[in-house]
Amino acid sequence: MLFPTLGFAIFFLLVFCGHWLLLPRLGLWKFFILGISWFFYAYWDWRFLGLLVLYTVVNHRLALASFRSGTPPQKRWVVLAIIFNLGLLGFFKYYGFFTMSMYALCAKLGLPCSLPLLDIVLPIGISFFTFQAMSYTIDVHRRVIEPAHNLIDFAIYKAFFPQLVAGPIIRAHHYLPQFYRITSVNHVDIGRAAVLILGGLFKKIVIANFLAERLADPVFANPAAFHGPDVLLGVYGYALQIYCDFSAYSDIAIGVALLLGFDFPENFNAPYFATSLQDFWRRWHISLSTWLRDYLYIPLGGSRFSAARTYANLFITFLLGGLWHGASWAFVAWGALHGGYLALERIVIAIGKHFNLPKSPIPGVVTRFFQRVLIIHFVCLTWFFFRAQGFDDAALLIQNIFSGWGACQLFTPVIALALVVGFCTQFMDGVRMTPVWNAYNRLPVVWQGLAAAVVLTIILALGPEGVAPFIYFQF
Amino acid sequence: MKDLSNIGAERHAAGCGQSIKRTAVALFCFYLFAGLFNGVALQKDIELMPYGAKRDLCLALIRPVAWLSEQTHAADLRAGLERLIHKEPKK
Repeated sequence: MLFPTLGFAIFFLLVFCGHWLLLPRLGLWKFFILGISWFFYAYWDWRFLGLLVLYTVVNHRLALASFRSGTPPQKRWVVLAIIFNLGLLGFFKYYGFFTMSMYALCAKLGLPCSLPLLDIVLPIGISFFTFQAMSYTIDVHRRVIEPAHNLIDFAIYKAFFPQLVAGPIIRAHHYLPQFYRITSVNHVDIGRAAVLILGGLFKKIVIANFLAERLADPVFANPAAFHGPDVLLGVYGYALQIYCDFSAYSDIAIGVALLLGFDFPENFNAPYFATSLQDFWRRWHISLSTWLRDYLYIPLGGSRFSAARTYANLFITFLLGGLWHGASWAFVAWGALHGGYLALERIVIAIGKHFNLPKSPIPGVVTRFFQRVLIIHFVCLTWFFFRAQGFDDAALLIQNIFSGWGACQLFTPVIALALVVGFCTQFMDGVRMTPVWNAYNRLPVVWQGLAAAVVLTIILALGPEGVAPFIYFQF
Repeated sequence: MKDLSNIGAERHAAGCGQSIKRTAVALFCFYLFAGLFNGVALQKDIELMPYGAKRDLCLALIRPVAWLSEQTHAADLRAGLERLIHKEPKK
């Protein structure tokens, strides 16, 4: 069930009514929320509902065992939980990749290989709910949080439908306290919710779909046919498409949760305004980058040891972060490029400090402009590996940038407008829209409904026919 | 850079927002107006769905909305916008 569809609109109306009507009867409400969340997941593919239930039961039991194992807690429960979660993720997501890589390696070495080839369907959202489950069991082990009071409470946290299939990865320390206070919620920040949902729909239906259809898809589907400015337009288009697509899902999820009385943290904060790659990762998919920091980078040692170890930790973290996105060497390369550049940034800063370099005479605003341009282009370079169908296509596209600087096939004024508007949608992230949220909150209720309906109608009129699935569903 | 994880808590503390009852009324108004403005186009979309119980149910739900949308000329807003951008209106 995609967010921008009539099916979801009807589903959400029923959920909204049921949620607020049943809330005074907490027991009944819990079964209702769990039921509709499971229904939402089963709507994609009912066969994987059992997997979600298995994740829920096992992680709940292991977290409880860890919590009850005394002080300090026994490590075996959390280790078991990590093995279980990564084992299932590894099987569903990486088995095919691993076997194919093994076959390729054995063929090169002239060795026999007899691993069974299985056609495994990837359960939707598995990467997200695996990381969510791991953060829960690890936080319980670390005594950052207490475990959920019972299995039903944990199952609701695990399956809560707005964030289930494509994040943001909501941590238990953020969700559970709100969950246990939900009956005391008596007002809703409708202004913020409306702007998030409508802004998300605009980004997805109008910008992301348009840029995909007119720029990214043609260029990446046929790399040999495009050169010079067309390739650049294609990758700029993809950079904005993936931002508009993924941030749209996060925004709609946050907005939907807000209407149900839950507050999720923001997942994006104008990433293409970043002045360094480190800054970029503080702004892009924040729930994943903070997850990687807290459960991978810091446990690896973070920056507590030597400089070389810090660079290695960064590199490993992003290598695995790349692999999290998908089971292919292209994603590993994407992660390696990000990890390598982050390490390089640190090295440059360290050299600057070591030699006590004088402050640049260039004004800060000019420096920041060029830093932003550099980061956008580095990120675009990495998107080639992320989006292209393999290394050969990515290499061909990068090579084609430097040839055929004649006529541009893809450029039209409408495309330029879409790119500019797509870039400017980043102003909707964070707290930049606070005046609009507050203004909407002050409108009379009928006008609130009318204004939102007019905006929705404009979005639907501007958008193409049909809605493509969100890019991050594949992860 | 501002920490974004507490926006909701800060706004809650500042008393931003409105009661559940007002939110529900606003939401129903939104569905009503959105249905009126888009009823005809939605009916067209649903008619393109594969035959089956889901399509029948959706059609049964949307028909009165589409009728009202046409009678009140509310559908003209979307049709006008689509004509403005040279998109074939669903009428």
